[in-house]
Amino acid sequence: MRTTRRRITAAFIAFALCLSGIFGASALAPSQASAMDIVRCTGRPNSDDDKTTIMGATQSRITFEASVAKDEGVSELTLHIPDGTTFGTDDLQVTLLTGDDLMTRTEVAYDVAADGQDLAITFDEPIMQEGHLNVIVYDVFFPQAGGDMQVEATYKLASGAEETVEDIPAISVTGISATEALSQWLSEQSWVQAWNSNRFLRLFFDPTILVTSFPVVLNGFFMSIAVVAVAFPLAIPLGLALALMRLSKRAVIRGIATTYVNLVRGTPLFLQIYIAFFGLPLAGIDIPNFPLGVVVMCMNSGAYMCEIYRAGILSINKGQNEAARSLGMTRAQTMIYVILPQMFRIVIPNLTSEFIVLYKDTSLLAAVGVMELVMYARTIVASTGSITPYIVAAVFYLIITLPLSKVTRHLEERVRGGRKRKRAGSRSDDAAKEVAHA
Amino acid sequence: MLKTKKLVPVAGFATVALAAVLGLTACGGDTASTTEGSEPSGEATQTGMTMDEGKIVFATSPDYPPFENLEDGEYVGLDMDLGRAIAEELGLECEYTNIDFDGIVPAIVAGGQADAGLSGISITPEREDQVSFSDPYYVDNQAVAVQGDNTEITEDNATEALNSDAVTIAVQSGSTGEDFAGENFPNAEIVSFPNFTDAFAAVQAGKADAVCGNSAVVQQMLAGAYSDQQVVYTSATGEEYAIAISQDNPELLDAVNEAIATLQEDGTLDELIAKNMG
Amino acid sequence: MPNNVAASAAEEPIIRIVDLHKSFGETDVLKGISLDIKRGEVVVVLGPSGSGKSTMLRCLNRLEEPTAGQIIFEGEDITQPKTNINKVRERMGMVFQQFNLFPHLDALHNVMLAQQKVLGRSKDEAAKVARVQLERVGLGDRTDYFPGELSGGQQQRVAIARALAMDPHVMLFDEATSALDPELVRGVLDVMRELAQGGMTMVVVTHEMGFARDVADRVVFMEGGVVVEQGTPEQVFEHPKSERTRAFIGEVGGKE
Repeated sequence: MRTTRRRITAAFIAFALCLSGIFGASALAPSQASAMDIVRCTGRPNSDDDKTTIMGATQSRITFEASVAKDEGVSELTLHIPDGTTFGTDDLQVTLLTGDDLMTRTEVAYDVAADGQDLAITFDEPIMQEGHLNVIVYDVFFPQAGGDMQVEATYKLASGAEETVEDIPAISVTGISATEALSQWLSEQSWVQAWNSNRFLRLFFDPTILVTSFPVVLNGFFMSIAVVAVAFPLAIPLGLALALMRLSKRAVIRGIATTYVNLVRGTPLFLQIYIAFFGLPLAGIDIPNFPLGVVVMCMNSGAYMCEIYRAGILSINKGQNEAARSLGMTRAQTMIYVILPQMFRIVIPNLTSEFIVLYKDTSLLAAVGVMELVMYARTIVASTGSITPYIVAAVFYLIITLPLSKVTRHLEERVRGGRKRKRAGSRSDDAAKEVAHA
Repeated sequence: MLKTKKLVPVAGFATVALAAVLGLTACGGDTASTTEGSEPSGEATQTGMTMDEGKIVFATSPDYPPFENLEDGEYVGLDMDLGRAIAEELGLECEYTNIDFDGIVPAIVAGGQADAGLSGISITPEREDQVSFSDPYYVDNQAVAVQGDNTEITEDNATEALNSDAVTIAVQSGSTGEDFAGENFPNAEIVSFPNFTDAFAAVQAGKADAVCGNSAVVQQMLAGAYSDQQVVYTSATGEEYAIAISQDNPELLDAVNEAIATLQEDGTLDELIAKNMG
Repeated sequence: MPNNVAASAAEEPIIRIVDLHKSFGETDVLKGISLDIKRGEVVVVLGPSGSGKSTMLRCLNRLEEPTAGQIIFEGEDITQPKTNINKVRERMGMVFQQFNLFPHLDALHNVMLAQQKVLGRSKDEAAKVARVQLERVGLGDRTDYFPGELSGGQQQRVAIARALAMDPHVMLFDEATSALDPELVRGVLDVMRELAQGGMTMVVVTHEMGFARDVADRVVFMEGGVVVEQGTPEQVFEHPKSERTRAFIGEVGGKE
């Protein structure tokens, strides 16, 4: 540990000067000399966005932990909380951790006095035991603008000496986001308070949570969209391959595809996700979360698409096949140039529905730690106790599913309403060459 | 199991809990005792209604041995035994309803699904903003476990090694372990699972490097299904487990506190702890 | 069974059907058909529904697999397993009762598709041929129409053009006008008539007695899976030998 120390007594200065010569070489010996050394000084993350960010103007807490040397008799600890940061003293928690593994907790009796930014803790009995002194300050609100928050600490020993805890790490605080600021402004508005005094409205439509959860849940929205945006296009050829296999003349190929489709369609997607996320790695196949999520969704959707395609292919008039074959086209050519183009037009409404299902089913990935829509909403619900983030998540689902449902209905009508297509306009040269027939 | 002792009653907790109960029941509207109805699905109904039918419903997330777990469909563990003991004290039938951990506090706030949350819930000031807590019945710490064959993260270097951007730590969504990991290992990637068992499974599957959560549970998991994992880091956070009760239901809070006091006095609580932590 | 036409032919027939049988499960639909079709000949097959005439036609390009018997097309027994039936079909155009145009392609591309994929013609060449054939069937001004935008008669003419574009050696017509409204039948028959006059070998299954009378070189009357009678239109219509033929012609208004 690299330390520089200021001492009041001349003796200490001399001692320090003497040591400064071998400053880098021997770091351990002098640090043992102080009665208290910092162990940690952290702020509790309080962002809904990610679990490690500490934001300004949002409730947090400071955990201060310092080692206490044996028999030094620390009698008073004063924490200087950075300017602009507010804190409470009611919930203050002061504990002495002792034992080899520091796992024995000893509550310490104390008096507390707050004077401006100074929080003075006077112990009923000076601490003689060796251990870690752990202080948790609750109800902490860091300044809105954020920045590096430097907590300072001084302590008194039984001898009367007053010393400083050195090298306390600063707590990095992020400035409050625009939506957080809006939320806080909202919470002060009387109409919001009136609104929230209604239990139902507060639980489901709390405006302050609405504005803060929106950008957070938006992250999950992008994740969900990303999953389907990759999985769905990949499922299209997979489903097609399966459908063609199921229509194959060869029993083995047909059997493989049929087994796959029945297995996937016959078991819950939820179970498939669990097997893929926890089972595959045990089998030595290690795929990162996102691609794995995509693969599972794709493989699941492929099975459903297979049946959509198969039904589509079977619904095409047998005469189409005969006409193509009678012209000398092979089975493959007939499939590629005649059957599939028609099939795709028929199945587009069903594929759209499948897309909607797939999009909604991304929510199941929440169970295995993929941070998608529901998972983001969940985190905020857990920290606020309001259902509002779920409502926000619902909105994010609906902005995709409602328009698509409408499109699906429209497409279904078109497919059902015959295959009439708008003409691209006749070419005049063709018309000019018209030959009259009797 | 680690021995913990409490010398001084946590004055702060008691004050705030009381203040919360007294202060917030006022805005909560109707008190529980006046409401009727039995549909659990009823929206935003008052809590406590099921007690009118002679039973108390606890919300629990049974993925947290030795506190709550499902064994052959039976709710077992310290919390579950405690819940039954409390119900007996209160002369009520005890019922459990399975809710994911991060949904319990919201469920108690919303009411209708359960009268109280009993699921190894640590008292935190943030949660106290939302619900009332009973007197604590157990004190626990945080622990971090990794696969036994992990040479990157060991007991000796855990503090630094865990706080690396190359490390993924699995936690339970909404748990104090989630907060603890985020606060003390800010450089690591924190992955939340609704179900705590899945966090361990993630480590076993190599999807995460470490799992962080309450010590007693980590120990229990490692003693059971995940014996190839080992604890590399512990911190005496001294979290107090308590029962979460709607702030609209001070009658139930008082009754539960009374029951806990009785169980503490007559030694039942110690017996249950010994039985489940043995 | 009279077979005088084949006997009088010096030339090798383009299609020789030998003792053709076809059954669907227990039902015997064709019970031994033998028939020779000469190059350039227009053969019209008549018969009540269920007589097996369509099945016979569909066996010629093996859209139906014969149960027994031989079909020798241009000297090759195409019922052999080693036969590349796709190669055979290139030379055998077929027109269906339900047209079976490809609904996702416009008229031009309906006619172009097989030319490109089967004959390997370039896009330009296929388009050129397609235009010529569509002109030929009187639809030069409908090249960019989709099947759904064309009348039944126009669709069937496109289907004929589609088959002709493959330069077939024989054309098979399977009740080509049966699905059409009466006023649209004529246009299709006119195209078929012109085709016959141009020397195309044609096997036509139809109910159009007038067409048979005017265009056919030979009329074949089938019933119950066998050829009951065949001969020139005059022989069959004016002097039917068989009682059944006479009854059939009387019923469907052979006098027209």
